[in-house]
Amino acid sequence: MNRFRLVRERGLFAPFDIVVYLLLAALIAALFFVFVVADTFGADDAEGVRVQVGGETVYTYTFGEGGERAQSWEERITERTEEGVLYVRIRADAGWNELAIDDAQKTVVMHDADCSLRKDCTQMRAIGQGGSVITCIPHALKVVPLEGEDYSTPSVG
Amino acid sequence: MRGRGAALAAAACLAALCACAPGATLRAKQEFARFGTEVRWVYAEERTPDADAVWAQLTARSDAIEADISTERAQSSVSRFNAAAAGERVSIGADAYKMLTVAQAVYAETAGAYNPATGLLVDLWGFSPRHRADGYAPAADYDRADYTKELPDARYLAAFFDRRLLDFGAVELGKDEDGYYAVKPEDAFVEVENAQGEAVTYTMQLNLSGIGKGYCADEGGAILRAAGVEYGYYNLGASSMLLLADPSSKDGVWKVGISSPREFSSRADYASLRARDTVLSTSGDYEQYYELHGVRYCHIIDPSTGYPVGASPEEGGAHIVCVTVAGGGAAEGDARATAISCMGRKEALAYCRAHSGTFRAVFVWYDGAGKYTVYSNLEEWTLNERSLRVEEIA
Repeated sequence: MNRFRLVRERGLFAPFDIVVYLLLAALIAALFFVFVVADTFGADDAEGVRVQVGGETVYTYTFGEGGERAQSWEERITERTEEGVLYVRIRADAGWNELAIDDAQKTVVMHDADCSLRKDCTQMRAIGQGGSVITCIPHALKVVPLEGEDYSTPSVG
Repeated sequence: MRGRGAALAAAACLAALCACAPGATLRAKQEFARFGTEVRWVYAEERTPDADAVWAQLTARSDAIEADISTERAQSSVSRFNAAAAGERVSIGADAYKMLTVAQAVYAETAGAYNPATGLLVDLWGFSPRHRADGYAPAADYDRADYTKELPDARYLAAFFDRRLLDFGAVELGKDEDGYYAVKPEDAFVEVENAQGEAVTYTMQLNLSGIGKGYCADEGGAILRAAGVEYGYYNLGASSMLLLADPSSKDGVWKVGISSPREFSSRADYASLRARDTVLSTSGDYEQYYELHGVRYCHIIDPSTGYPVGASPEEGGAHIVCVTVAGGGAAEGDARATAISCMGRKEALAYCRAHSGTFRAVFVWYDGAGKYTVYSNLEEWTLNERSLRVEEIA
Protein backbone atom coordinates (compact mmCIF):
# COMPACT_ATOMS: atom_id res chain seq x y z
CA MET A 1 0.00 0.00 0.00
CA ASN A 2 2.86 2.28 0.72
CA ARG A 3 4.15 1.70 -2.77
CA PHE A 4 0.83 2.54 -4.33
CA ARG A 5 0.72 5.73 -2.32
CA LEU A 6 4.25 6.55 -3.47
CA VAL A 7 3.33 6.08 -7.12
CA ARG A 8 0.20 8.16 -6.67
CA GLU A 9 2.17 10.89 -5.03
CA ARG A 10 5.19 10.92 -7.31
CA GLY A 11 3.54 9.82 -10.55
CA LEU A 12 4.19 6.77 -12.78
CA PHE A 13 7.05 8.34 -14.62
CA ALA A 14 9.46 11.00 -13.63
CA PRO A 15 10.61 13.34 -16.43
CA PHE A 16 14.09 11.82 -16.50
CA ASP A 17 12.64 8.33 -16.90
CA ILE A 18 10.75 9.42 -19.99
CA VAL A 19 13.94 10.83 -21.54
CA VAL A 20 15.79 7.60 -20.86
CA TYR A 21 13.01 5.49 -22.35
CA LEU A 22 12.91 7.66 -25.47
CA LEU A 23 16.67 7.32 -25.88
CA LEU A 24 16.36 3.57 -25.46
CA ALA A 25 13.62 3.39 -28.10
CA ALA A 26 15.75 5.46 -30.47
CA LEU A 27 18.71 3.15 -29.91
CA ILE A 28 16.62 0.07 -30.62
CA ALA A 29 15.18 1.68 -33.75
CA ALA A 30 18.65 2.62 -34.96
CA LEU A 31 19.99 -0.88 -34.37
CA PHE A 32 16.97 -2.32 -36.14
CA PHE A 33 17.57 -0.08 -39.14
CA VAL A 34 21.29 -0.82 -39.35
CA PHE A 35 21.13 -4.55 -38.89
CA VAL A 36 17.78 -5.40 -40.44
CA VAL A 37 16.41 -2.80 -42.82
CA ALA A 38 19.64 -1.64 -44.42
CA ASP A 39 20.88 -5.19 -44.69
CA THR A 40 17.61 -6.44 -46.17
CA PHE A 41 17.36 -3.82 -48.84
CA GLY A 42 21.04 -3.62 -49.46
CA ALA A 43 23.14 -0.54 -49.80
CA ASP A 44 24.98 -0.92 -53.04
CA ASP A 45 25.96 2.70 -53.56
CA ALA A 46 29.67 3.12 -54.06
CA GLU A 47 31.44 6.44 -53.68
CA GLY A 48 33.61 5.65 -56.64
CA VAL A 49 35.96 2.95 -57.84
CA ARG A 50 39.58 1.99 -57.70
CA VAL A 51 41.25 0.10 -60.56
CA GLN A 52 44.10 -2.24 -59.70
CA VAL A 53 46.46 -4.04 -62.04
CA GLY A 54 48.50 -6.77 -60.43
CA GLY A 55 47.55 -5.37 -57.04
CA GLU A 56 48.75 -1.83 -57.86
CA THR A 57 46.19 0.98 -57.89
CA VAL A 58 46.48 2.64 -61.30
CA TYR A 59 43.32 4.72 -61.41
CA THR A 60 40.67 6.00 -59.05
CA TYR A 61 37.37 7.64 -59.85
CA THR A 62 35.23 9.48 -57.33
CA PHE A 63 31.63 10.14 -58.34
CA GLY A 64 31.01 13.84 -58.61
CA GLU A 65 34.72 14.63 -58.67
CA GLY A 66 36.36 12.75 -61.50
CA GLY A 67 39.23 10.39 -62.12
CA GLU A 68 42.87 10.36 -61.20
CA ARG A 69 45.65 8.32 -62.78
CA ALA A 70 48.62 6.99 -60.89
CA GLN A 71 51.73 8.90 -61.87
CA SER A 72 53.45 6.03 -63.61
CA TRP A 73 50.30 5.16 -65.54
CA GLU A 74 49.46 8.58 -66.97
CA GLU A 75 50.38 7.66 -70.51
CA ARG A 76 48.68 4.30 -70.37
CA ILE A 77 45.24 5.52 -69.33
CA THR A 78 43.06 7.59 -71.61
CA GLU A 79 39.63 9.06 -71.07
CA ARG A 80 36.89 10.11 -73.46
CA THR A 81 33.31 11.13 -72.90
CA GLU A 82 30.41 10.10 -75.09
CA GLU A 83 26.79 10.93 -74.37
CA GLY A 84 27.47 11.59 -70.72
CA VAL A 85 29.43 8.37 -70.13
CA LEU A 86 33.13 8.45 -69.37
CA TYR A 87 35.14 5.70 -71.07
CA VAL A 88 38.46 4.97 -69.43
CA ARG A 89 40.90 2.75 -71.31
CA ILE A 90 43.71 1.18 -69.36
CA ARG A 91 46.58 -0.44 -71.24
CA ALA A 92 48.44 -2.95 -69.14
CA ASP A 93 51.27 -5.15 -70.36
CA ALA A 94 48.87 -8.05 -70.91
CA GLY A 95 46.31 -6.00 -72.84
CA TRP A 96 43.72 -3.29 -72.50
CA ASN A 97 40.43 -2.84 -70.67
CA GLU A 98 37.87 -0.08 -71.06
CA LEU A 99 35.53 0.97 -68.30
CA ALA A 100 32.28 2.87 -68.80
CA ILE A 101 31.59 5.21 -65.89
CA ASP A 102 28.17 6.83 -65.59
CA ASP A 103 28.59 9.51 -62.98
CA ALA A 104 24.91 10.45 -62.96
CA GLN A 105 23.84 6.88 -62.25
CA LYS A 106 26.91 6.13 -60.13
CA THR A 107 27.64 2.93 -62.00
CA VAL A 108 30.79 1.43 -63.44
CA VAL A 109 30.89 -1.44 -65.88
CA MET A 110 33.55 -3.12 -67.99
CA HIS A 111 32.66 -1.96 -71.47
CA ASP A 112 35.28 -3.71 -73.55
CA ALA A 113 38.60 -5.54 -73.39
CA ASP A 114 40.94 -7.57 -75.54
CA CYS A 115 41.38 -10.33 -72.95
CA SER A 116 39.66 -13.03 -74.97
CA LEU A 117 36.88 -13.56 -77.49
CA ARG A 118 34.41 -14.16 -74.67
CA LYS A 119 35.38 -11.11 -72.61
CA ASP A 120 34.05 -12.57 -69.39
CA CYS A 121 34.80 -9.33 -67.53
CA THR A 122 32.24 -7.46 -69.67
CA GLN A 123 29.52 -9.85 -68.47
CA MET A 124 29.97 -8.95 -64.81
CA ARG A 125 27.44 -6.81 -63.05
CA ALA A 126 28.07 -3.12 -62.84
CA ILE A 127 29.41 -1.73 -59.60
CA GLY A 128 26.56 0.37 -58.34
CA GLN A 129 23.97 -2.03 -59.74
CA GLY A 130 24.51 -5.06 -57.59
CA GLY A 131 28.08 -5.80 -58.55
CA SER A 132 30.81 -5.47 -55.98
CA VAL A 133 33.92 -6.32 -58.00
CA ILE A 134 34.78 -6.55 -61.68
CA THR A 135 37.72 -8.79 -62.47
CA CYS A 136 39.67 -9.44 -65.64
CA ILE A 137 41.77 -12.50 -64.80
CA PRO A 138 43.93 -12.58 -67.96
CA HIS A 139 44.95 -8.96 -67.35
CA ALA A 140 45.15 -9.24 -63.54
CA LEU A 141 42.88 -6.20 -63.43
CA LYS A 142 40.35 -5.56 -60.76
CA VAL A 143 37.80 -2.81 -60.23
CA VAL A 144 36.65 -2.41 -56.65
CA PRO A 145 34.63 0.22 -54.77
CA LEU A 146 36.65 3.23 -53.74
CA GLU A 147 36.20 2.45 -50.09
CA GLY A 148 37.67 -0.99 -50.67
CA GLU A 149 36.31 -4.48 -50.57
CA ASP A 150 34.36 -5.56 -47.57
CA TYR A 151 35.95 -8.78 -46.40
CA SER A 152 33.45 -9.13 -43.56
CA THR A 153 30.68 -10.11 -45.98
CA PRO A 154 31.98 -12.94 -48.14
CA SER A 155 30.07 -14.01 -51.15
CA VAL A 156 30.00 -17.16 -53.25
CA GLY A 157 29.01 -17.59 -56.85
CA MET B 1 10.30 4.06 -10.21
CA ARG B 2 12.72 6.70 -11.35
CA GLY B 3 15.72 4.78 -10.08
CA ARG B 4 14.46 1.48 -11.47
CA GLY B 5 13.58 3.02 -14.80
CA ALA B 6 17.02 4.49 -15.23
CA ALA B 7 18.67 1.25 -14.18
CA LEU B 8 16.48 -0.72 -16.59
CA ALA B 9 17.31 1.62 -19.44
CA ALA B 10 21.01 1.45 -18.70
CA ALA B 11 20.91 -2.32 -18.58
CA ALA B 12 19.05 -2.47 -21.90
CA CYS B 13 21.56 -0.16 -23.54
CA LEU B 14 24.39 -2.24 -22.25
CA ALA B 15 22.74 -5.41 -23.51
CA ALA B 16 22.23 -3.84 -26.93
CA LEU B 17 25.85 -2.81 -27.11
CA CYS B 18 26.98 -6.24 -26.02
CA ALA B 19 25.10 -7.71 -28.96
CA CYS B 20 27.66 -6.07 -31.19
CA ALA B 21 30.78 -8.17 -30.82
CA PRO B 22 34.09 -6.34 -30.97
CA GLY B 23 35.26 -6.04 -34.56
CA ALA B 24 38.44 -7.72 -35.82
CA THR B 25 40.67 -6.39 -38.55
CA LEU B 26 40.33 -8.57 -41.59
CA ARG B 27 43.16 -8.66 -44.08
CA ALA B 28 43.43 -10.44 -47.37
CA LYS B 29 46.13 -12.03 -49.44
CA GLN B 30 45.33 -12.93 -52.99
CA GLU B 31 46.74 -14.17 -56.22
CA PHE B 32 45.45 -13.96 -59.74
CA ALA B 33 45.13 -16.59 -62.40
CA ARG B 34 45.41 -19.55 -60.08
CA PHE B 35 43.12 -22.17 -61.63
CA GLY B 36 42.12 -19.41 -64.04
CA THR B 37 40.60 -17.31 -61.29
CA GLU B 38 41.41 -15.25 -58.22
CA VAL B 39 42.32 -17.01 -54.99
CA ARG B 40 41.97 -15.12 -51.75
CA TRP B 41 42.73 -15.86 -48.14
CA VAL B 42 41.01 -13.59 -45.61
CA TYR B 43 42.29 -13.76 -42.06
CA ALA B 44 41.97 -11.94 -38.75
CA GLU B 45 45.11 -9.86 -38.48
CA GLU B 46 45.35 -9.87 -34.70
CA ARG B 47 44.93 -13.63 -34.49
CA THR B 48 47.21 -14.69 -37.31
CA PRO B 49 50.73 -13.69 -36.36
CA ASP B 50 52.43 -15.74 -39.07
CA ALA B 51 50.20 -14.72 -41.97
CA ASP B 52 53.05 -14.38 -44.45
CA ALA B 53 54.37 -17.85 -43.65
CA VAL B 54 50.90 -19.39 -43.85
CA TRP B 55 50.25 -17.67 -47.16
CA ALA B 56 53.54 -18.97 -48.52
CA GLN B 57 52.41 -22.50 -47.63
CA LEU B 58 49.00 -21.98 -49.22
CA THR B 59 50.44 -20.67 -52.47
CA ALA B 60 53.08 -23.38 -52.64
CA ARG B 61 50.43 -26.04 -52.18
CA SER B 62 48.04 -24.55 -54.71
CA ASP B 63 50.89 -24.24 -57.18
CA ALA B 64 51.77 -27.89 -56.74
CA ILE B 65 48.16 -28.94 -57.22
CA GLU B 66 47.76 -26.81 -60.31
CA ALA B 67 51.03 -28.15 -61.71
CA ASP B 68 49.65 -31.67 -61.38
CA ILE B 69 46.28 -31.10 -63.06
CA SER B 70 46.47 -28.07 -65.32
CA THR B 71 45.92 -28.71 -69.00
CA GLU B 72 48.03 -25.60 -69.66
CA ARG B 73 51.13 -27.40 -68.39
CA ALA B 74 52.37 -30.08 -70.75
CA GLN B 75 53.95 -32.17 -67.98
CA SER B 76 50.95 -32.21 -65.65
CA SER B 77 49.40 -35.59 -64.92
CA VAL B 78 46.22 -34.60 -66.74
CA SER B 79 48.05 -33.33 -69.82
CA ARG B 80 50.06 -36.50 -70.06
CA PHE B 81 46.93 -38.62 -69.65
CA ASN B 82 45.18 -36.61 -72.33
CA ALA B 83 48.12 -37.03 -74.69
CA ALA B 84 48.22 -40.78 -74.11
CA ALA B 85 46.83 -43.30 -76.55
CA ALA B 86 43.82 -45.43 -75.69
CA GLY B 87 44.87 -48.34 -73.51
CA GLU B 88 48.03 -46.60 -72.33
CA ARG B 89 49.06 -46.51 -68.69
CA VAL B 90 50.21 -43.09 -67.45
CA SER B 91 52.04 -42.37 -64.22
CA ILE B 92 50.28 -39.60 -62.30
CA GLY B 93 51.02 -37.53 -59.23
CA ALA B 94 49.48 -38.06 -55.80
CA ASP B 95 47.22 -35.03 -56.10
CA ALA B 96 45.87 -36.09 -59.47
CA TYR B 97 45.30 -39.60 -58.13
CA LYS B 98 43.37 -38.33 -55.10
CA MET B 99 41.28 -35.98 -57.22
CA LEU B 100 40.51 -38.67 -59.76
CA THR B 101 39.51 -41.04 -56.97
CA VAL B 102 37.08 -38.49 -55.57
CA ALA B 103 35.92 -37.72 -59.10
CA GLN B 104 35.10 -41.36 -59.75
CA ALA B 105 33.18 -41.58 -56.49
CA VAL B 106 31.06 -38.55 -57.36
CA TYR B 107 30.69 -39.78 -60.94
CA ALA B 108 29.15 -42.95 -59.57
CA GLU B 109 27.14 -41.14 -56.89
CA THR B 110 25.59 -38.82 -59.49
CA ALA B 111 25.12 -41.50 -62.18
CA GLY B 112 27.51 -39.64 -64.44
CA ALA B 113 26.06 -36.15 -64.04
CA TYR B 114 29.51 -35.14 -62.88
CA ASN B 115 31.87 -36.36 -65.57
CA PRO B 116 35.41 -34.97 -65.97
CA ALA B 117 35.88 -36.90 -69.21
CA THR B 118 34.19 -34.08 -71.14
CA GLY B 119 37.51 -32.43 -72.00
CA LEU B 120 36.99 -32.60 -75.76
CA LEU B 121 33.51 -31.15 -75.51
CA VAL B 122 34.77 -28.36 -73.25
CA ASP B 123 37.42 -27.56 -75.84
CA LEU B 124 34.97 -27.80 -78.72
CA TRP B 125 32.60 -25.30 -77.13
CA GLY B 126 35.42 -22.83 -76.42
CA PHE B 127 35.93 -23.10 -72.67
CA SER B 128 39.45 -24.49 -72.36
CA PRO B 129 42.18 -22.27 -70.86
CA ARG B 130 43.48 -21.50 -74.35
CA HIS B 131 40.17 -19.84 -75.18
CA ARG B 132 40.47 -17.51 -72.21
CA ALA B 133 43.64 -15.97 -73.41
CA ASP B 134 44.17 -13.01 -75.63
CA GLY B 135 45.66 -14.09 -78.93
CA TYR B 136 43.51 -17.19 -79.32
CA ALA B 137 43.89 -18.62 -82.80
CA PRO B 138 42.29 -21.74 -84.26
CA ALA B 139 44.64 -24.64 -83.79
CA ALA B 140 42.56 -27.81 -83.82
CA ASP B 141 40.71 -29.03 -86.89
CA TYR B 142 37.42 -28.32 -85.14
CA ASP B 143 38.26 -24.79 -84.02
CA ARG B 144 36.17 -21.87 -85.26
CA ALA B 145 37.73 -18.48 -85.99
CA ASP B 146 35.36 -16.91 -83.46
CA TYR B 147 33.76 -19.59 -81.32
CA THR B 148 31.36 -17.03 -79.82
CA LYS B 149 29.78 -16.38 -83.20
CA GLU B 150 29.47 -19.82 -84.69
CA LEU B 151 28.30 -23.17 -83.33
CA PRO B 152 30.55 -26.22 -83.46
CA ASP B 153 30.59 -28.52 -86.44
CA ALA B 154 27.88 -31.13 -85.87
CA ARG B 155 30.25 -33.93 -86.92
CA TYR B 156 32.64 -33.12 -84.10
CA LEU B 157 29.79 -32.63 -81.66
CA ALA B 158 28.54 -36.12 -82.46
CA ALA B 159 32.05 -37.60 -82.36
CA PHE B 160 32.99 -36.05 -79.01
CA PHE B 161 29.66 -37.13 -77.55
CA ASP B 162 30.56 -40.75 -78.26
CA ARG B 163 30.11 -42.86 -75.13
CA ARG B 164 33.59 -44.34 -75.48
CA LEU B 165 35.10 -40.91 -74.85
CA LEU B 166 32.84 -40.18 -71.89
CA ASP B 167 33.08 -43.49 -69.98
CA PHE B 168 35.01 -42.01 -67.06
CA GLY B 169 34.16 -44.98 -64.86
CA ALA B 170 36.27 -47.17 -67.11
CA VAL B 171 39.45 -45.27 -66.27
CA GLU B 172 41.55 -47.55 -64.12
CA LEU B 173 43.32 -45.92 -61.18
CA GLY B 174 45.89 -47.58 -59.01
CA LYS B 175 49.14 -47.54 -57.14
CA ASP B 176 52.05 -49.94 -57.31
CA GLU B 177 55.75 -49.91 -56.57
CA ASP B 178 56.25 -47.36 -59.37
CA GLY B 179 53.73 -44.94 -57.93
CA TYR B 180 50.24 -43.83 -58.89
CA TYR B 181 48.89 -44.51 -62.34
CA ALA B 182 45.83 -44.09 -64.54
CA VAL B 183 44.98 -46.26 -67.54
CA LYS B 184 43.03 -44.83 -70.43
CA PRO B 185 40.36 -47.32 -71.51
CA GLU B 186 41.34 -49.30 -74.58
CA ASP B 187 38.30 -48.23 -76.57
CA ALA B 188 38.39 -44.59 -75.52
CA PHE B 189 39.02 -43.15 -78.98
CA VAL B 190 37.16 -42.04 -82.10
CA GLU B 191 38.29 -41.08 -85.58
CA VAL B 192 37.02 -38.04 -87.43
CA GLU B 193 37.77 -37.06 -90.98
CA ASN B 194 39.01 -33.49 -91.17
CA ALA B 195 38.54 -30.98 -93.97
CA GLN B 196 41.55 -32.40 -95.79
CA GLY B 197 40.08 -35.91 -95.77
CA GLU B 198 42.52 -37.18 -93.18
CA ALA B 199 41.34 -39.42 -90.35
CA VAL B 200 42.31 -37.87 -87.06
CA THR B 201 42.17 -39.90 -83.85
CA TYR B 202 40.82 -38.31 -80.69
CA THR B 203 41.06 -40.06 -77.32
CA MET B 204 39.36 -39.45 -73.98
CA GLN B 205 40.35 -36.09 -72.50
CA LEU B 206 40.02 -35.22 -68.84
CA ASN B 207 39.21 -31.82 -67.39
CA LEU B 208 39.41 -31.46 -63.61
CA SER B 209 38.28 -27.84 -63.46
CA GLY B 210 35.07 -29.01 -61.81
CA ILE B 211 36.91 -30.43 -58.81
CA GLY B 212 40.35 -28.81 -58.68
CA LYS B 213 39.42 -25.70 -56.73
CA GLY B 214 37.52 -27.76 -54.20
CA TYR B 215 40.46 -30.08 -53.72
CA CYS B 216 42.69 -27.06 -53.25
CA ALA B 217 40.27 -25.72 -50.61
CA ASP B 218 40.52 -29.03 -48.74
CA GLU B 219 44.31 -28.93 -48.83
CA GLY B 220 44.28 -25.29 -47.82
CA GLY B 221 42.07 -26.16 -44.89
CA ALA B 222 44.58 -28.74 -43.69
CA ILE B 223 47.34 -26.12 -43.81
CA LEU B 224 45.26 -23.58 -41.92
CA ARG B 225 44.27 -26.07 -39.23
CA ALA B 226 47.85 -27.24 -38.81
CA ALA B 227 48.89 -23.59 -38.39
CA GLY B 228 46.25 -23.09 -35.72
CA VAL B 229 44.28 -20.59 -37.81
CA GLU B 230 40.69 -20.55 -36.61
CA TYR B 231 39.25 -17.43 -38.19
CA GLY B 232 38.73 -16.28 -41.74
CA TYR B 233 38.05 -17.98 -45.05
CA TYR B 234 39.88 -19.31 -48.06
CA ASN B 235 38.11 -18.47 -51.28
CA LEU B 236 38.95 -19.93 -54.66
CA GLY B 237 37.23 -18.01 -57.41
CA ALA B 238 34.12 -17.62 -55.23
CA SER B 239 33.16 -21.13 -56.38
CA SER B 240 34.91 -23.05 -53.61
CA MET B 241 35.09 -21.47 -50.20
CA LEU B 242 36.46 -22.88 -46.99
CA LEU B 243 34.85 -21.05 -44.07
CA LEU B 244 36.48 -20.98 -40.66
CA ALA B 245 34.97 -18.77 -37.94
CA ASP B 246 34.03 -15.10 -38.14
CA PRO B 247 36.11 -13.22 -35.57
CA SER B 248 33.57 -10.40 -35.42
CA SER B 249 30.44 -12.36 -34.59
CA LYS B 250 29.66 -13.73 -31.16
CA ASP B 251 29.00 -17.26 -32.40
CA GLY B 252 31.69 -17.17 -35.08
CA VAL B 253 29.10 -17.63 -37.80
CA TRP B 254 29.59 -15.88 -41.12
CA LYS B 255 26.80 -14.41 -43.14
CA VAL B 256 27.60 -15.38 -46.71
CA GLY B 257 25.92 -13.93 -49.76
CA ILE B 258 25.03 -16.12 -52.74
CA SER B 259 25.41 -14.15 -55.95
CA SER B 260 22.38 -13.62 -58.10
CA PRO B 261 22.65 -15.53 -61.37
CA ARG B 262 20.55 -12.90 -63.11
CA GLU B 263 19.71 -9.25 -62.56
CA PHE B 264 16.42 -9.91 -60.79
CA SER B 265 16.85 -6.55 -59.07
CA SER B 266 19.73 -4.36 -58.02
CA ARG B 267 20.62 -6.81 -55.26
CA ALA B 268 23.94 -8.55 -55.65
CA ASP B 269 22.89 -11.66 -53.71
CA TYR B 270 19.65 -13.56 -54.20
CA ALA B 271 20.12 -15.37 -50.90
CA SER B 272 22.32 -15.46 -47.80
CA LEU B 273 23.26 -18.27 -45.52
CA ARG B 274 24.82 -18.47 -42.08
CA ALA B 275 27.67 -20.90 -41.62
CA ARG B 276 31.05 -21.53 -40.09
CA ASP B 277 33.68 -24.28 -40.24
CA THR B 278 32.34 -25.73 -43.43
CA VAL B 279 32.82 -25.60 -47.18
CA LEU B 280 30.65 -24.00 -49.80
CA SER B 281 30.74 -24.88 -53.48
CA THR B 282 28.94 -22.97 -56.20
CA SER B 283 28.39 -23.63 -59.86
CA GLY B 284 26.53 -21.38 -62.24
CA ASP B 285 25.95 -20.52 -65.87
CA TYR B 286 26.61 -16.81 -65.51
CA GLU B 287 30.37 -16.45 -65.14
CA GLN B 288 31.74 -17.85 -68.37
CA TYR B 289 29.40 -17.87 -71.33
CA TYR B 290 28.54 -16.40 -74.68
CA GLU B 291 25.19 -15.91 -76.31
CA LEU B 292 24.32 -16.81 -79.84
CA HIS B 293 20.89 -16.36 -81.40
CA GLY B 294 19.37 -15.81 -77.97
CA VAL B 295 20.80 -18.99 -76.46
CA ARG B 296 23.33 -18.93 -73.64
CA TYR B 297 26.26 -21.31 -74.02
CA CYS B 298 28.08 -21.58 -70.70
CA HIS B 299 31.19 -23.43 -69.57
CA ILE B 300 29.31 -26.27 -67.80
CA ILE B 301 28.99 -29.09 -70.30
CA ASP B 302 26.14 -31.51 -69.68
CA PRO B 303 27.53 -34.99 -70.28
CA SER B 304 24.04 -36.29 -71.07
CA THR B 305 23.58 -33.97 -74.06
CA GLY B 306 27.06 -32.85 -75.08
CA TYR B 307 25.84 -29.26 -74.93
CA PRO B 308 26.35 -26.56 -72.34
CA VAL B 309 23.60 -26.87 -69.74
CA GLY B 310 20.28 -25.59 -70.97
CA ALA B 311 21.53 -25.06 -74.50
CA SER B 312 20.57 -28.30 -76.20
CA PRO B 313 17.65 -27.95 -78.61
CA GLU B 314 15.59 -30.47 -76.60
CA GLU B 315 15.82 -28.59 -73.31
CA GLY B 316 14.18 -25.39 -74.50
CA GLY B 317 16.40 -23.42 -72.17
CA ALA B 318 15.15 -25.09 -68.99
CA HIS B 319 18.00 -25.80 -66.60
CA ILE B 320 19.51 -25.13 -63.19
CA VAL B 321 21.18 -21.74 -63.50
CA CYS B 322 23.12 -21.89 -60.25
CA VAL B 323 23.63 -24.14 -57.26
CA THR B 324 25.41 -23.81 -53.93
CA VAL B 325 26.33 -26.89 -51.93
CA ALA B 326 27.18 -26.68 -48.24
CA GLY B 327 28.92 -29.38 -46.25
CA GLY B 328 30.94 -32.47 -46.96
CA GLY B 329 34.44 -32.20 -48.40
CA ALA B 330 35.27 -29.31 -50.68
CA ALA B 331 36.44 -31.52 -53.56
CA GLU B 332 33.24 -33.55 -53.36
CA GLY B 333 31.21 -30.35 -53.03
CA ASP B 334 32.84 -28.85 -56.09
CA ALA B 335 32.03 -31.95 -58.13
CA ARG B 336 28.53 -32.22 -56.67
CA ALA B 337 27.74 -28.61 -57.54
CA THR B 338 28.87 -29.25 -61.10
CA ALA B 339 26.76 -32.41 -61.20
CA ILE B 340 23.62 -30.74 -59.91
CA SER B 341 24.03 -28.03 -62.56
CA CYS B 342 23.75 -30.77 -65.17
CA MET B 343 20.70 -32.44 -63.69
CA GLY B 344 17.06 -31.88 -64.48
CA ARG B 345 14.91 -30.51 -61.70
CA LYS B 346 13.43 -33.81 -60.52
CA GLU B 347 16.78 -35.53 -60.65
CA ALA B 348 18.42 -32.73 -58.66
CA LEU B 349 15.69 -32.76 -56.02
CA ALA B 350 15.96 -36.53 -55.60
CA TYR B 351 19.74 -36.38 -55.39
CA CYS B 352 19.76 -33.57 -52.80
CA ARG B 353 17.08 -35.34 -50.79
CA ALA B 354 18.94 -38.65 -50.81
CA HIS B 355 22.17 -37.05 -49.57
CA SER B 356 20.79 -34.47 -47.16
CA GLY B 357 22.73 -36.14 -44.36
CA THR B 358 26.00 -35.31 -46.13
CA PHE B 359 25.35 -31.94 -47.72
CA ARG B 360 22.66 -29.33 -48.15
CA ALA B 361 21.99 -27.27 -51.24
CA VAL B 362 20.15 -24.37 -52.76
CA PHE B 363 19.62 -24.06 -56.48
CA VAL B 364 17.73 -21.84 -58.89
CA TRP B 365 15.71 -23.56 -61.58
CA TYR B 366 14.79 -21.78 -64.80
CA ASP B 367 11.82 -23.22 -66.65
CA GLY B 368 12.80 -21.86 -70.04
CA ALA B 369 9.75 -19.59 -70.14
CA GLY B 370 10.88 -16.76 -67.92
CA LYS B 371 10.17 -18.25 -64.51
CA TYR B 372 12.77 -18.89 -61.82
CA THR B 373 12.21 -20.97 -58.71
CA VAL B 374 14.51 -21.46 -55.75
CA TYR B 375 14.81 -24.90 -54.16
CA SER B 376 16.59 -25.28 -50.85
CA ASN B 377 17.21 -27.52 -47.89
CA LEU B 378 19.85 -25.30 -46.32
CA GLU B 379 19.58 -25.06 -42.58
CA GLU B 380 20.03 -21.35 -41.95
CA TRP B 381 19.41 -19.17 -44.92
CA THR B 382 17.45 -16.16 -46.10
CA LEU B 383 15.97 -15.38 -49.47
CA ASN B 384 16.93 -11.83 -50.34
CA GLU B 385 15.27 -11.68 -53.72
CA ARG B 386 11.62 -11.51 -52.75
CA SER B 387 10.42 -11.79 -56.32
CA LEU B 388 11.52 -15.44 -56.48
CA ARG B 389 9.34 -18.34 -55.50
CA VAL B 390 10.81 -20.77 -52.98
CA GLU B 391 10.19 -24.46 -52.51
CA GLU B 392 11.76 -26.69 -49.95
CA ILE B 393 13.79 -29.74 -50.87
CA ALA B 394 11.99 -32.09 -48.53
